[in-house]
Order: sequence, then structure tokens, then C-alpha cells
Amino acid sequence: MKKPDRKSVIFFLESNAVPILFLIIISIGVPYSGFSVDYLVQEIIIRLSRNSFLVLSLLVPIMAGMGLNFGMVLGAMAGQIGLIFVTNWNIVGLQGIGLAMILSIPLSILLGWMSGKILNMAKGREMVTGFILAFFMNGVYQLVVLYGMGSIIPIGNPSMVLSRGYGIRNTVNLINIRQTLDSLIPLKIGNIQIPVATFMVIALVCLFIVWFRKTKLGQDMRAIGQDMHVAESAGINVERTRIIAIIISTVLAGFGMILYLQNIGTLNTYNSHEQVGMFSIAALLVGGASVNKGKISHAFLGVTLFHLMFVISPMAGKNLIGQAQLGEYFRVFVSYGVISIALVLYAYRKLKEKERAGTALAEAQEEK
Amino acid sequence: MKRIIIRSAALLLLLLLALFFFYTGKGHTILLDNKTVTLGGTEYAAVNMLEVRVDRGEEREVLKRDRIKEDVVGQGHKITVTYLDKGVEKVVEEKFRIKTGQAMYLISLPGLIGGAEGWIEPFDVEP
Amino acid sequence: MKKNLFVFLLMTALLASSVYAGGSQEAGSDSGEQFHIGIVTGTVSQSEDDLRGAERLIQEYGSVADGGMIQHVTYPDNFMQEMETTMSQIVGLADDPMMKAIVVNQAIPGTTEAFRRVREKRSDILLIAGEAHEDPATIESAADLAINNDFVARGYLIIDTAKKLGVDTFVHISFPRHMSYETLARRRAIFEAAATDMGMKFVFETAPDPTSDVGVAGAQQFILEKVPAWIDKYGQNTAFFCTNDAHTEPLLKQLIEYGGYFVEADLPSPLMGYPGALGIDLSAEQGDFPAILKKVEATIKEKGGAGRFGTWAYSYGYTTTAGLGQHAMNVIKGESELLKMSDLMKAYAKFTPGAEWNGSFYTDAGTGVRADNHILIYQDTYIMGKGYMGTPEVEVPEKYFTVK
Repeated sequence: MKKPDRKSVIFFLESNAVPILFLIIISIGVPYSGFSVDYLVQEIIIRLSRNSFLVLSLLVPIMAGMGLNFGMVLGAMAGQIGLIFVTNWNIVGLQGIGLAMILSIPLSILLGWMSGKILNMAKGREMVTGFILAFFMNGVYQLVVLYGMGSIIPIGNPSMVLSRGYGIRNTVNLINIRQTLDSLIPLKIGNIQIPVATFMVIALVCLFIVWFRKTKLGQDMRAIGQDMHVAESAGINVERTRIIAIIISTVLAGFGMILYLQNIGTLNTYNSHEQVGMFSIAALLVGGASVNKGKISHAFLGVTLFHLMFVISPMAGKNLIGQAQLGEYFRVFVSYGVISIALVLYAYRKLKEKERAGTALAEAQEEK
Repeated sequence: MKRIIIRSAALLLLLLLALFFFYTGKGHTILLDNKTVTLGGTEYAAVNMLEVRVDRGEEREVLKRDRIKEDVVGQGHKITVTYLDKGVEKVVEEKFRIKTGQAMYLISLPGLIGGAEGWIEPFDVEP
Repeated sequence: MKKNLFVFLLMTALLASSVYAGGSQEAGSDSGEQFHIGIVTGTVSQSEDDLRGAERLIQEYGSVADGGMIQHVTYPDNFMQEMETTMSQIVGLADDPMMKAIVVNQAIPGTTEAFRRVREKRSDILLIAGEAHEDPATIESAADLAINNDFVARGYLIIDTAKKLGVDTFVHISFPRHMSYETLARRRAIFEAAATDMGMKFVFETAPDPTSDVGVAGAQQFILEKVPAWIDKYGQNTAFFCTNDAHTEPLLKQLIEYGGYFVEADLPSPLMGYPGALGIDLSAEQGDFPAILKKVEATIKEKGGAGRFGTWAYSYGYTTTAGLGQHAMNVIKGESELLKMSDLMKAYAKFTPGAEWNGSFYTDAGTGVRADNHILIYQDTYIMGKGYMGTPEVEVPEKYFTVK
């Protein structure tokens, strides 16, 4: 291995600043939290199996140059509606998960198509549009679930409908499908349980993304991600391809939400979906991804670091400062602070890259 | 044309899969009752002590005048009842199918042992 | 290159954690008799009273960090979205081998699942949920004991008290998300039935949800602007009730100024809304509820609100945290039985000298099945300038228990 020169070390630090920053804070935080190794490792494994799928669903739109898909919340809603029906019909176990996934597909496609259409009207401002779109659809979702279900859409299960006769209760107990996938292939190493089947599903989606990148459609998306106008003049149907990217992301997000909730075991009917977009995006950023670059490894590293921070920082903050609630504030402050830094650093890096390209161009011109 | 065929085949496959999941994953509740009943004009007396097992579940004891609940998945099931008849242990095994649309069934164990018609019937909770 | 980095970072993190954690485990575990109790509450900004109850316990029994018995942690402020954090906070408590009981007040969504996970790991830990937000049937399936304020009896009693004060219209302020809570929706139905039976007018008014995009500020602004109009519309003899804590403060503020009655808050406490609405500083009285009540009452009288404003003399959140912690301790020591109402009341009474409590077991409205591990409780209502109203002695007619 050749000796790394100063410039490349700086470049390495610069392009991985966020994960490194997180790692430093975590390694300081872990001893203060006082948790046992078993607990931490178990917690990381649970979080990986729970969140990776959701985070992976973000990768396709990044490839197509559409930034971080805040609209994935729409997929999460579709997944939840699937779960509500499955619980209502009392479909148990893996079949329940499978049926919920199938039910979520048409809804996800519809919602994804709609959001793709809208995002096409707001090219260049996809992220903020997606963000607001999620707010809007949340209202529609509440209307449907709180007033439509039980009155227009028949829901027969009395433990789900409010005793007034319509509307789904604020929590739906998913005991029928709870952790059925996680415990399908039980594996226990020491005190640590590993949900093998869930990881296999996650591996499957990774393979799908790798394969998809190589297809014609995937190549088109990458071309659009590079430069929309060039792609357009090369004969790629930009609008259609962008819509497909969002649809894929939405459908995957719906699946991800179902996997997430089968692990959690309780559906917060009106809130579970709200924060998944934010957290998944934050995790991806922490893993070193940026608005225009996202890899599978970023997703896993991000989930590990981001969630480890969430696990240790309340206790670390408490033990550091001595008051329970300060631990909570410490967590919020550190976690979101680092996310902001991630976004700032991204902008900074972009500027730097431009500079670097500029100097290279100048040097090249001088040589002439 | 080829595209349409492939797409509709995929759609059909998905639909079939959904139906498959629906039928095989549907959960039902079965109430197992050990009370004296009259079925078809004949009275079947409650059995003092018996053990019952549905499918491959665990064996459960049902006392006289007791009613227990068992959750099952799918349509085809097997019930095994073990009881003492004048000091001799006897085993009754019966297979039955239930309708997907019906959430709850009531099985009368004395009726089942006595070989009565209608030992299993749909059960609805008063709304 | 990138993959190597990933593996490297992961290894470093794990290595670091194993080195450090090895060292930290040796601390603690000195005497055999000792045990720890985990208390989980909200923070000051969400539910101050709950947190003060935990501090009260720490004051008496000491914090685990200083060799005491109480391990206090908090759940996130926006707990509805950060369910994962809540769960890992609760499950994290079970990592302590000396932990014998976990009390969560308020038992926000995610508590049930966290309890299930604790149970899988450590079946010996006593799990108690105070003021459960999740559906009754859900929390009952996981907790050893769940407590709620008695929304069934209070549905009748608040109306009854209002009637005694001379109120003719009852305004219930809420929003759709809260009406998806079985407890809140059922209480609303009981309010309506009781009000109609007593010849009062029942009105449902909608206000914005503070956890939605308008935020707490927007929701409070709405109440500030709306209350004068409501008083105008329904008259001075109107009692108001709101299901959300954030709405309480602006509501009280306007009611003091424009007239109208306020029997008690959703989760009553002298600290609920009053300090902010009256602009009084209670930092000197912190945790001393008789003194707090005295000061609040004096200010209310001064502003001409005597006989119109009520509360529970001791904060519900405060006594629930402290009382359940104490109850858990009594149970572990073998002095109390977990599900015995009188033992529970004994633990509560320790923190509320002079105030009466009453309670009952929860009965599901749909099936009529009584839960044996879900207790509903309420305290005597205290109307400022009038004193205790004696609600625990009032007999709630049987029919209201089945209203839905």
C-alpha cells in the first residue's frame, strides 16, 4: 500500500466528516451511558433489522437526481393501511405480513404516481415539495382512517373501531403478526438474538438495488441524475423515468414500514408514519450519503451510528449532567445538531469541489 | 402485446398470492365447551375430565361446565379429545373444516364424544 | 475502500463499547437487600408534574447514581413520533440486574411493546403503567398494573359538579386525534349523556391539535381568540373543558377575564395552566402542593374568580408517579398486594394528606368484561373559594358505566 499523502488524508476526512464526527461522539458517550455490551449489540441488531429497509428505499430517487425522498411517508401510510386491513381480517403470521405488503402495493403506486407528477412540476425543489406533500397527505390519511373506516369502509373488528362505531383507535395491537418474520429463523449467539429472516429480506432488497442500477431503466435514471437536459436530448423520457423512481421508492417504503411495524408490534394509527421520513433521511446522511450520492453501505453505517446515538445519548446525558430530562435534551441537541452539520458540510464540500475543479481547469489552461 | 400479457400475468399471480395468504392466514377462534347439551333431541352429558388438543397445539384440560378458547389459523383442522370412560382412557379424533367468513366457532365436546350431528356450529358475539 | 471504512468504524465502536462497559459494570451491587426501581416520565416541557413526582421519590430514596434506589429517565418530548426512543429507554432500564420494577407515567404509545420486551428478557420485573395512552385492552395485555384517571366516573362527576355550581352549558374542546382515544371519546359520550339528563346544554368545539403543523403556539392563539366569542355565544354560566394540556393555560386566562367556569382539567393539578394563566411564580413552593394551592387560590380570589375554578388539590401526575413508585416498593418488600385497591390508595395517600381518593376497576364498554389489572382513580375536586366538593362520596348512576 502506498503511503497516503496529506492531501488525500484531508480529502478522506472531508468526505467522511459526518460519520467520523458521529463515531467520536459515540465513543465518548458509550462509557458514560453505562450500558452493557450485550445490550448495545442487541440494540444495534434490532435497529438494523427494523430500519435498514426504510433507509434503503431512499436510494433509488437519489440515483435519479431527485434528492432525498421526503415523500416516502406516503409509502409508510400505504403500508399502515395494509396492516389495518390485515388486522381487521385477522390474518395471522407471515401470511398477514405478505398480504399487507400486497395490499400496500396499489396504494403505494397510486400515491407514488401522484407525488411523482407533482415533483415533476417542481423540478429542483423536490425535497421541500415532498416534505409539504407528506403533510398534506397526512390530513387525507387522518380523514380516511378516522372517519371513513368503520362507516364507509367496513371494519368488523370491535377491538379496532372506537366504541362510537367509526374510526380506528389510536393504537392497533399487531400481536397477530408481531415479530413473526424476525423469529422465523431463530438464531441466538450468546445472549444476542439475530432476526435472520428479516436480514435475508433486507439482503434481497440490496440485491434488487444493485441489479436495478444495471438495467436500462437504472442507467436512464443515473443519466438523469447527472444532467436532466443532456438525458432529455439523448432521448430519455425524463418525466416518466422520474415518476417511476418515486413509485419504486414509495412501494419499498411501504414494505419497509410493514417490516418496521412487525418488529415494533404496535401501530400508532395516527403518528407512526410521521417521523419515519425524517429519521430514515437523517440516518442515511449520518452514514455519509449526501443529496446526490447514496450507497447501500451508507444506509447500514448510518442506521448503526444514528441509532446507537439515540440509544446511548439519553443515559449518557443523564449520567454526565445528573438530571434525567437533560439527557433527553442532550440527545435531541446532539442528534439533530449533527444532522445540520451533515447538511452544511455537504454544501461546503460542493463548493470545495467546484473550487478544485476550477483550479484544475486553470492549471490545465496555463499548461497550454 | 407481449408486454400486456406479462403484466397481466404478474397481476394475476399477485392476486392469487393475496388470496392464498388470505385463506391460509385467516385466524379463527374456537370455543371448546364442556357443558351438558341437547343436540338433535339427544342429551349429551358433560364429561368429568377431559383433555383436548386442536391441531398440533398443546393439550389442554377442560373441566366440567368449563369453556376455553383456542386460536387457530386456516380452514382445515383436527381435534383430539382424550377422556376417561369408566376408568378406560379413550381418544376421539375428528377432522373439520371451517368457513373463512366466520370468525368464531363453538365446539361441544360432549356432543363430539357422543358422535352427535352439529357438534360444531358457528358462534357470533352479540354486538 | 468504502467498505473497509464501514467495517473499521463498526469495529472501533464495538471495541470501544466493550472496553468501557466492562469497567462500568463493577460499580453498584453492594448489598443484597437493595433493589432499584425505574421511573420513566416526560420532561419539564411536556409534563412537569410527572417529573416532579420522580424527583420527590429521589429525594426520599436517592438516585441510583448516588447509591440510592431510583433510576429516573425521561421519554422524548415528541413521543408520538419517536416511539423507538421510548422503547429503548424503557427496555434499557432492564439492563440493570438490580432493577425490580419499572413505572412509566405517562404510559405513552410504545409502552406496551417495551413491556413485552422487558418481560421476554426479565420476567421478574414488575411493570406498572400510569395514565395509559394506549388502548386499554392493549396495555392490560402487557402491564402488571395499569392506572388511568377515572374517565368513566369523572364523565358524570364533572357535569354533576358543574350543575352544583349553577352552570347551564357545558363546552367540550378537543380535536379529532384525541377523539381517537377510546378513553377520551367515551368520556365525551358520558359528558353528553349526563349533561342532557341534567338539563344542561352540551356543545362540542374543535380546536387545532398542538402536535400538528400549527404547533402549541398556534393552538394556544386559537383558544385565546375564540374564548371571548364562545362566552358571548353561550353566556356566562358556561363551563369549559379541554382534553389537551396545551389548551388549558390560554383557556383559563380568558375565562378569568371574560367569565365562565372551569371545573377541572383533563389531568388536574394546581399547576395545570394556572401559574401561566395567572402569571404567578411558584418556584419557591416547588413540590409543596398545599402551599401551591393556597397561592393559586389567593390569586384567583383576587381576580374575582372565586367559586368558578377548580382542580385536584394534589397534582394527578405528581402523585401518580410518586404513588406508583411507592406502591411498587411496598409490593416488592411484601408489604402490599399489587392489585389490591386499598394498598394502592395507601401508597397514593402518602403524598396527598387531606385529599380523598376513589377508584374502580376498568370495564370494557363493548364486552362488559372487567379487567383485573386496570384501575381507574380520581381525587376529590377542589373549587377555589369553595373547598372540596366531596366527589368521592357522590354515587355515579349505574347507567353511565355502559354509555359508549
